[in-house]
Amino acid sequence: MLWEKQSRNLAFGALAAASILVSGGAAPAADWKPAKPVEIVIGNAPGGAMDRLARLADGYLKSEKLIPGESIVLPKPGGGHAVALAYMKGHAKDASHLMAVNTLLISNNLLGRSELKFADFTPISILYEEPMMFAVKYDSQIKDATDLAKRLKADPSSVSFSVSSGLGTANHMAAVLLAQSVGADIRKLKAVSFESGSEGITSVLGGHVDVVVTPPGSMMQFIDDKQLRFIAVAGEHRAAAPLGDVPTWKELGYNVSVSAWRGIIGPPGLKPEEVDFWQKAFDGFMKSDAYKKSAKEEIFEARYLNAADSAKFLAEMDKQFRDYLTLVGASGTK
Amino acid sequence: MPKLVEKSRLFIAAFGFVLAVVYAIAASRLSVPAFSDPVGPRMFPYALAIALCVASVLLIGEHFVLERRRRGAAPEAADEGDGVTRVAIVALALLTAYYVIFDFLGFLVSTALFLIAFLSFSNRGQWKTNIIVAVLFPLGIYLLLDRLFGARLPAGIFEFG
Amino acid sequence: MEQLTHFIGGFAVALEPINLWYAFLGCVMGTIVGVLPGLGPAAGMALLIPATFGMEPASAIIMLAGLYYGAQYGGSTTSILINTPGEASSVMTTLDGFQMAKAGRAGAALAVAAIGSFIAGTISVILLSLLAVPLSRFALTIGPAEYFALLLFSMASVTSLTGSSLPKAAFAVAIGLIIATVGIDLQSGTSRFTGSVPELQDGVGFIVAAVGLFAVSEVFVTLEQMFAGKTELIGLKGSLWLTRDEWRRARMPILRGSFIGFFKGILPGGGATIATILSYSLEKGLSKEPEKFGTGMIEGVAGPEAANNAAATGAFVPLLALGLPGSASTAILLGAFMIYGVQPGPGLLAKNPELVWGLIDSMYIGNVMLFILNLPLIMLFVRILYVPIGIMMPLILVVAGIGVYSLNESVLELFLALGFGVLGYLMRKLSIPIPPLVLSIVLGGLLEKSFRQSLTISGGDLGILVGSPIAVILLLLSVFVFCIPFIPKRRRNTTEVVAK
Repeated sequence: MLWEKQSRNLAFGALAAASILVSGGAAPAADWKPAKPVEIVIGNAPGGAMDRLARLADGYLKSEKLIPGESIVLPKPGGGHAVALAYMKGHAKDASHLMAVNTLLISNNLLGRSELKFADFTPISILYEEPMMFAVKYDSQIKDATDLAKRLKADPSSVSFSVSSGLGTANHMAAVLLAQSVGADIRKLKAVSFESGSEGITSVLGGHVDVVVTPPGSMMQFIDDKQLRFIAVAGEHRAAAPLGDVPTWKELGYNVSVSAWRGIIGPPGLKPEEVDFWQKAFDGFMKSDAYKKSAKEEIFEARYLNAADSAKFLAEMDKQFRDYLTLVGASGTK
Repeated sequence: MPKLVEKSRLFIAAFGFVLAVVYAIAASRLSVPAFSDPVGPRMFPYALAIALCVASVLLIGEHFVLERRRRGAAPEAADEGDGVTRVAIVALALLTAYYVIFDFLGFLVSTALFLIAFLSFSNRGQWKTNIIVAVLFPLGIYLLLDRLFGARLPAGIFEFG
Repeated sequence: MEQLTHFIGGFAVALEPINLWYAFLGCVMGTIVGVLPGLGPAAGMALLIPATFGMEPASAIIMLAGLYYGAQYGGSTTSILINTPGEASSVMTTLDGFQMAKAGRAGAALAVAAIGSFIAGTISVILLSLLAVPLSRFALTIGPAEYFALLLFSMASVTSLTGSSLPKAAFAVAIGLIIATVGIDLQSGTSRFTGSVPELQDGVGFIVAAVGLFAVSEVFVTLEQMFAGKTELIGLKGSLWLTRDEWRRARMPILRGSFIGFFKGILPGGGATIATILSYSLEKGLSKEPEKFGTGMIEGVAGPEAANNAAATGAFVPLLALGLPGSASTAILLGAFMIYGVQPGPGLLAKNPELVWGLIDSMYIGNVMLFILNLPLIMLFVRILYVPIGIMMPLILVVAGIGVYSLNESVLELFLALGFGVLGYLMRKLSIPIPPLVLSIVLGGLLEKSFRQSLTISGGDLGILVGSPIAVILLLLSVFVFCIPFIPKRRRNTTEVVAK
């Protein structure tokens, strides 16, 4: 584990860190391979969804022998990815560092929680999207999506939503967009924040909150157990089986579409050949059995975008998020 | 300095009022998004500022109750000795120095240096014991935590440990 | 009947030699991380998870769970011996445990903590085996409003039961709650009082605050006393073990603590900490000599220590039956389940009975292991009291510093802990009790969160707070507890006995 420490302390300690790392990391062009052990950084403690994604990718890199040296998953928890992003920034131009990211990459900056913008980093690929599901208690009075929309239109404060960790999440955005699309006053929307998705689900199971807006992974058991039922999905199109019966808000005539995506970025200033190497690696990762199995288990949808498309996608997401912030009146600092 | 203890409630209360005001002002500057919950991010801090003032008022009340009772009785004894001493300041300075060099020199070196410095102050005259402790203890902790548990301790410029 | 079959089948899994070995390893590591101040079960499990890859899911989960509940055994050790709680759930133990050690009864305090933990651990595993599913339904009925009432009751208990000066305790609670507001506000998404320091966005952590307030300030004060020639080695007086009288006094608190702890453990939120506060309040309330609490009452160690262990086991109810973690450590345990492709929730018992019952049954065995492991350790740990103070103090600072650093590898947090050390030092000089401050930092965020969740649901109508009988009872109890110090009889005490 010696090498990690060296690199970390260089980053922490010396101003000259970046230049040393450049001379050490940038191997001859054309067919670039990471000469040093690879770090896949995550912004949370081990055990979460980001950790599982990072470990899946790590396992693939190892099993396919794509990299000559070692690779590890490096958790850098704190500040909602802010600490990990600062760490990546400190390793500018060093292509042996990758980071698994999600919507926080966009929202943190626009909410003024992090100085670092998505454009500060090198996009490598977008890997998947999770469908954002609207669910209610199985015996809820809310019959279906149209019924929910009707109630919301008649009285926006008659329905409460559990939106995971609140303002700045795709969950919250979905609830707000729904209120907006039925023409309700969004300020009257009851959006309750919880510390985790599972806490929010429990509050709906207990009948304290009416609707939960969250990705399906942790809800499937309650669906199978007839304790919850899905009423709609906030996506461009319907989700894959077993969620194929759930209508999208769009097909019902409400413009509610959000994306909870996961992807991989590199530090600032990577060379084209370095980006190319990682792009190919993750292209292969998406086709691997391990990935397909995991996608099925956790119910997310493969959405592979290469580096160039990822950059476009991120810009689009940035725009969507800005619009949403203007809508809720929390205009960002930047 | 028994007087300090006798008046301590008044000092604490004065500090409480100042802190409450500063905190309330800081709270009033928090940005509130147009879309928020009915309570908002400022309300709870305001309530706490008030709570702090109430606690301070109670302290002043208690001061006068005790004052009346204390007449003729022995002065209230401090629990932990009186006043800030040189010892505490030296300990604080050593600890600060330790944290300053911690990342730069790495865990093993900085801890050994810290222990030697601190022990020569707190365990004066026993330099043999002190050196043994200062070398073996960081090593033991390092083996246990870094090697066995995989906790990450800084390696520092010497690159070992 | 089916349950009985699964129960027995679970032992077949738990008794496999390899699983016994991993349970043992988990328990040993749990004891170590529990003893080291700063390295709690959450950090311990996070460090261990990568090492479990490639293991059988059942073995890995048995080992991680062993670490989790094993840490509850070790947690009391530093509270009692050096007045430094390693976890929030050991803060209450410092009140009487450290005083017992000062009176030469460290052995008895450690022994009662181990016995209490063993009894509570076993009782709560039995309750878990029998009642997991029905109890998880009960847990669902507790919503934000009920939580708010429960937290308010805990804060009121802390204010009025720790230390004899209510204004000073109230002051400490107010400061603690203020510190708890630092960080990103969950409901509005606003950063509050963070001063653009990313480390502060998640708020001030328990370890940072506790290491500073307890360990660092304790070292400063102890050194002062040493230089003033006022200290001598505490050592041990009388039997290392419990006396007959001590055991008689500790029995009922252990039993009551076990049940309180288990039922609190079922309710996620606040973890085992609230359970220890409730147990301490109850024991003080039932005692014939409540004024002696804080001076080394064995009841004040036995109850909370049983409660935090039982709560740790009780937390498996929502974790297994609902997939709902109630604390940072159970959240990491949940993450470990998911890594192994095991999704806790209503389907888990049906889909994976061997794993669930293997885990539950391993906890019976793990508790016995921990008990046997911890008894000889008591004899080892009390030796700490014989290490010269001049050597012990810097070593405490080093270990405490590692605990803080290993959280986020942040030197900034070391300085933050140092700041808390200065604060703790001044508080000791001014006889302001420290436990209420630390507990408010831990619980303050939950208090505000549950209040605002309630009012968001009700659209700003305060009526929701008294909307259920449970909430009303808890609110009335809070008012009652807060008023206890004003009952005239107790006011005659002119001398201050301040809990440290």
